[in-house]
Amino acid sequence: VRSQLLAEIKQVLGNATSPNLTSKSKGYDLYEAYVFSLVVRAASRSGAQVRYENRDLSTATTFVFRTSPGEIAAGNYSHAVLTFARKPQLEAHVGIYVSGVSKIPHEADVCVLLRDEAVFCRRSNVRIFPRYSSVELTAECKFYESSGIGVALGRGFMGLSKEFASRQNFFIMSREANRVKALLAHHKQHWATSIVPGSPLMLNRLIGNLETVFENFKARR
Amino acid sequence: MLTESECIEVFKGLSKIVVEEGLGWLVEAVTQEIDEGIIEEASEEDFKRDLFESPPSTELVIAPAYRRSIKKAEFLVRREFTYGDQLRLLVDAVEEVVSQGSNIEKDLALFFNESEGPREFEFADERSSPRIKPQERQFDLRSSAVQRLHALLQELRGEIPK
Repeated sequence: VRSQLLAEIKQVLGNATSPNLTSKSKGYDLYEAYVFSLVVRAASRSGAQVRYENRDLSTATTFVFRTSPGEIAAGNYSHAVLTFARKPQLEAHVGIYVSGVSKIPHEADVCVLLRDEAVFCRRSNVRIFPRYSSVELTAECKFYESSGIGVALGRGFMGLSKEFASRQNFFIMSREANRVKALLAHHKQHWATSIVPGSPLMLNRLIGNLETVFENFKARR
Repeated sequence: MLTESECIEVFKGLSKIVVEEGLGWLVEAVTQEIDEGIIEEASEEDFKRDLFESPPSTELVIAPAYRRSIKKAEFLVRREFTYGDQLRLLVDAVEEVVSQGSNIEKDLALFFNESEGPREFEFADERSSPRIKPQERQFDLRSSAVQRLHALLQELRGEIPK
């Protein structure tokens, strides 16, 4: 009976599995895209007009997500343009490198930055990294990590946060992770766990926190 | 109910299937979690019965003052997963990742549909690998396969001793 059950699981598993989960990214691409959508939703709830374009400034009819991190000027990937009335425009990207405090490029899984800086970096043949000072928000996204690995990643995230200076950096995980939460809460970092569709409580809390970033941006600028 | 040795066998069998379906990284993540064990807080009272009743060496005798000082202290301790728990971890991981993958795809499609922007999305790498373009018509097929998988994994879960 048990071997029959395993055979049935084998038969069903292939059809149930999204191709993103079996690619080399281990589901990370899909998860980063999901967090990107939450950031854009938060901006929209904060009153932003949202439109989507490609690197060549054409309107994105198919939104193309990066599957490997790259420079903002590399490849014809898509991004969101966020416009708040009478405020500088912002762009939201997935998987771009940003130059940190120590002048080292770091990957930001999801990044919201000033559009002026993004346009400037895309305008040259030289691949220019946006500076951390132009960044309003970043998110480090972790899809299904074991709790021990999560702690190591949490430590890495704290280093990354220092590199992005006082910008708003969020550590977002698909799983519940008490040890990572304890670590990040102790060091006063932004974190969110159990961020998946169907967790309304956690999602509302995160989107609310992301909205606060946009509200602060509007108040400051 | 599965015996301990059957739990080990089923764990191996399910791992093999999961690897064959391209989710080898998930088996690695679960194995990592099993290796880490369960880390929890406990006081001396909680693990008193596991302490040596009579120390194997006089060097291991604990000073009474130290003993008093740890009376209310919480230590971090590591416990091993049982073979049943290991199998349950794998079953839960497969269900969690597969169903979340399907739900995230659907949620992204909904997000773009609501946005009056792009109607489709895809994943690309400028240097290599083919593009992945989730198709809405696949979502319903995937959802019913996820439901069927849930029922099968639930049946397997029912066989694992608590």
